[in-house]
Amino acid sequence: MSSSHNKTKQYILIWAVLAVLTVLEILVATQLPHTTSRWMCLVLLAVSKAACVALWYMHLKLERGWLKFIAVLPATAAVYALVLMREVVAR
Amino acid sequence: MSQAEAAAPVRHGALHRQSFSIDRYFGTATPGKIGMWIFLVADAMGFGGLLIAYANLRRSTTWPNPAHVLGIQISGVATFILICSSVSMVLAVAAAQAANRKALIRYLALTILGGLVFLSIQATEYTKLVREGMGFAHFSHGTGLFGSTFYSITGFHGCHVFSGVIYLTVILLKSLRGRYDGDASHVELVGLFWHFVDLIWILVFTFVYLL
Repeated sequence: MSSSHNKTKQYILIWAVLAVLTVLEILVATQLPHTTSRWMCLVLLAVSKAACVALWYMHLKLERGWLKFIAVLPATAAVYALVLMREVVAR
Repeated sequence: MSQAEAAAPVRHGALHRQSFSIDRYFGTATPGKIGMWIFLVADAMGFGGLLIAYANLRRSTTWPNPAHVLGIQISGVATFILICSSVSMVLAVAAAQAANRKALIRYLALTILGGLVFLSIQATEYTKLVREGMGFAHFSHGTGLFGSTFYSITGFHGCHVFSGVIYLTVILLKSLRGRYDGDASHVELVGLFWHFVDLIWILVFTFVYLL
């Protein structure tokens, strides 16, 4: 009973964190000028939110190594995107 | 095992309830869960491809400011709704694990409601944008690629939300009949799918609306 209560509290806490990060995102997007730091801030906030969902809501935090490895495979797409973007900038 | 037992059909849920030994690489994850993760990874690669194409098209031409054209308020509300539906989903999984059918049904219904509200917001947004001159291939205030990429990415995500709502409805109907009393495995699987849809939206919201 106590363990289930603790789990519920943790889920609500993560929800609050996600809500606060979303408000922060909107503030950064609307208040900061279009610079590299704004871009980095927004990407960092989005990645933090995605990590919260994956680790706590999808319970990735509790899984074994191989499942975690499978789950982070799409990150290779992000690396590929960065390489392509650099190529476009250098063109 | 007797011949009758061997011939008896195995219910899918019963398969999940079998006690699997702790695997060296996957722990106690059921085959269903490993399968769902592999599916989600493949799906994430699909979204990755769309976002890579979006980023490169955006870099290669003059791009309108998304915040001015799309408006952040309505999509911000949609994001908040999806986050709320994610918490109701995880609470539904916890209720299923605690064999609390009443709470499971309540939280599943709330999650479905969140999905439907999200889809309604998306439909309202599309209607507004089309009226303002942003079609799939034509945009009256800039490059047509802006509309093409926007509708492709958000529409593809919307299809996922719609599929998730159907999937959740099936699980809800089965829960009403007590199908998941003492067996949370299928609720966990739909939960993984729904959280994935939320996770992808978090990235889409940032890349398409905010940046």
